[in-house]
Amino acid sequence: MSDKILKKKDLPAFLTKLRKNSTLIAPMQRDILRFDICEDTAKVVTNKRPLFTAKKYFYKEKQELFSYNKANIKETGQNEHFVIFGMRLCDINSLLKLDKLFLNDFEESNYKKARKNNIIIGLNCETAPSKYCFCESMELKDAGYDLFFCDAGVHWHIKVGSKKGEKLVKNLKDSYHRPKPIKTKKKLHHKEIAGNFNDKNWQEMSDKCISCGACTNLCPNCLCFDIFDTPSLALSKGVRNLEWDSCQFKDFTKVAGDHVFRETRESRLRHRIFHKIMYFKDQFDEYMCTGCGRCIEGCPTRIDWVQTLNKMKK
Amino acid sequence: MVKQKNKSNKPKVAVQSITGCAGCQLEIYYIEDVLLELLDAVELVAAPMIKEKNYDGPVDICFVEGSVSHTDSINKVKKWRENSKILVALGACAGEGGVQQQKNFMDKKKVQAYVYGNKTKHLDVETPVPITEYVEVDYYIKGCPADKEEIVWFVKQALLGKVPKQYEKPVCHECKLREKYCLLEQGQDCYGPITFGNCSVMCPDYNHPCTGCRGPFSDGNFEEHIKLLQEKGFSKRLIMQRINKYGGLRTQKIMQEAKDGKNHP
Repeated sequence: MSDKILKKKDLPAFLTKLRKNSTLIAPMQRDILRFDICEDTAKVVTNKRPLFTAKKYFYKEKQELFSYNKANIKETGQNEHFVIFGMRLCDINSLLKLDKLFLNDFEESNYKKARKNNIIIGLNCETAPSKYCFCESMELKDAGYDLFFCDAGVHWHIKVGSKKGEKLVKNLKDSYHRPKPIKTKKKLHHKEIAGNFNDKNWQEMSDKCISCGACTNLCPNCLCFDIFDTPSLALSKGVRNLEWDSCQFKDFTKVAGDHVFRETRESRLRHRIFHKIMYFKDQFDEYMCTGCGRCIEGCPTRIDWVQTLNKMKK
Repeated sequence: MVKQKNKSNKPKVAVQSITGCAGCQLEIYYIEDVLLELLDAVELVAAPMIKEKNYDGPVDICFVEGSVSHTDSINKVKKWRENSKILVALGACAGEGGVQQQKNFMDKKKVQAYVYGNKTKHLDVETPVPITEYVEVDYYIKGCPADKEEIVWFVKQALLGKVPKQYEKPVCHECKLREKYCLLEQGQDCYGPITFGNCSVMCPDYNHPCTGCRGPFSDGNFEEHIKLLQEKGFSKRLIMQRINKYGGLRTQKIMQEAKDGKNHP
C-alpha cells in the first residue's frame, strides 16, 4: 500500500479517533517525558524521546505469572488492547528482537498477548534524539510497526506497515515525500570482539561502574528476570511473580552454595556487551542492541562502551 | 518446619530488644492489615514491649532489634542465639550498628561527656556494634526502621521451612523499575547505588535522595561513588558522614576489601 499524508494540525484528531476503542499510550510531559496513558492528544510530545522505554507495556517490570492454590494453577495475565504512539525505530526493532526470545522456543504468554493486541505507531527521528545514539551502525530493520510517522514539514508522511495500519489511514491522501534515513554522529565500528576479551579497557571501564543497573533497566532489549513466589500467610494460596533483574549485579549469577559465576564488575560489564554484540549475533544473526544509546545516556558515570569498543585494537 | 493446626505446633516467636529506639519492633505491631493473620500463624511467646508474661526458653524464630552498646547486652544476645533456631537481626541497629555506631568514628569519651555530662562514669558503655559482632544471624531484615513487608515476607518463608536469601541489589534497581528519574543526575547527593534496596524507594519517590538506611550495599563501588559525588560538588567530609550514618563499620570493611582486592587481584 502506498504511503499516506496527514497535516500536522490534524494529528490530535487522528489520535483521538484511535483512543475511542482502546487506551492510547504516547510520550507525555509529566515530571519528565515518559510514555504514559494519553488523556489529551494535543499534548503528545513528538520532538523528544523519553529516556524510559515503552518495553514495559509489552513486558511489565513486575508481573504476576499465575496464582495457585492447593488444587490448581491459574494464569493471571490479561488481554490489554492499546495503541502506542511515538516509539522510535530503535524501540520498535527491540520488540522484534524480544520476539525471537519470547515467542519462539519458550513462549511467554503475557508477552504474546501484549504483542498481539496492540497497534504500534512509530515516529521517525529526523535528527538523533540523543548525542549517544548510534543506531546507524546497528542494522535496524524498517519493520515491526503498523504505521510509521515521518516529519515532512507541515505534514506527517505516514508509512504503512501492516493490514491493521492500512485500515486506520485508508481515508487519507497518498504521499510522495521521501523520508531520509536516520543519521547519527556516533558510530560503532564493528569488529571481531572475541579477540578483545582480555583487553585492559574492560577493567578501566568497569572501575567507573557503580553497579546501579540503569543500563539494563533502560535498555529496550534487556529482558533478564527473576522469579519468586508470594504465598499467603496461611500458605494455602499464592502468586508467582516475575520481576526484571540485571546482569550487572553479583546476585544475578548466584547459585546454590553461594557460588557466583561473575564475581567482578569487569566480567559482568563485559558479559553484557558480549551478549549484545556477539553471543546473540551468533545465535540469531543480528545484534541484541538497537543503538538507542540509553545505557550511556542514563548511566550516572556515562560509561561509553561504544567509544571504548572503537578504541580496542583487534 | 511447622504445621499450623493446633496451637502447640505453631512456631514460637520472640521479639527481643536491646539498644535502639524500638521503632523496628513497633513496625511489627503496625502491620495492621495482616497482624491478626500473622498472630494466627505463629505463637508470640516473648515480646516484652507488649506482653506482661514472657517465655524465656527455646523458640523457633527470634527477632532482635538494637545494637550491642552495653556489656550486659552481650550475654543477652548470646543467650537468645542459643535459645533460637532462627535468629533474625531486625533493622539497621541490629544488623549494622545503626545511627549510634557513628560513635566508632568519634572520640568515645567526648561523646559520652557530651551526652551524659560527668554523672554516668559508672556506666559500662561499650562502643555500639551490630549483634553480628557477637553472634551469627540467619537473616537480616534491613532498614531504619525494618521494612514491614519484608518482615511478613520473612515469616511466610520461615513458615514454609526456608530461610530466604537476602535481597542483594541496590536501591537504584527498584528506582529504575518505577521509572523514577535519577536524583544523582539532578545534582543531589543520593546514596542509592551503594545502599541495599527492596525498600519500595519511598525516599527517592518523594524526591528525597537516599540516605542509606538499609546499610551499605555489599557490592557497591564506594570509591567511584565518592568520586562522583565530589565531582558534583559535595565535600568528602559530608559524603563520609552520610556514608557512615547507618552502617559505617561495614562500609569501612567493604572499602578496605575493595582496596586490598585491587592491590592483589
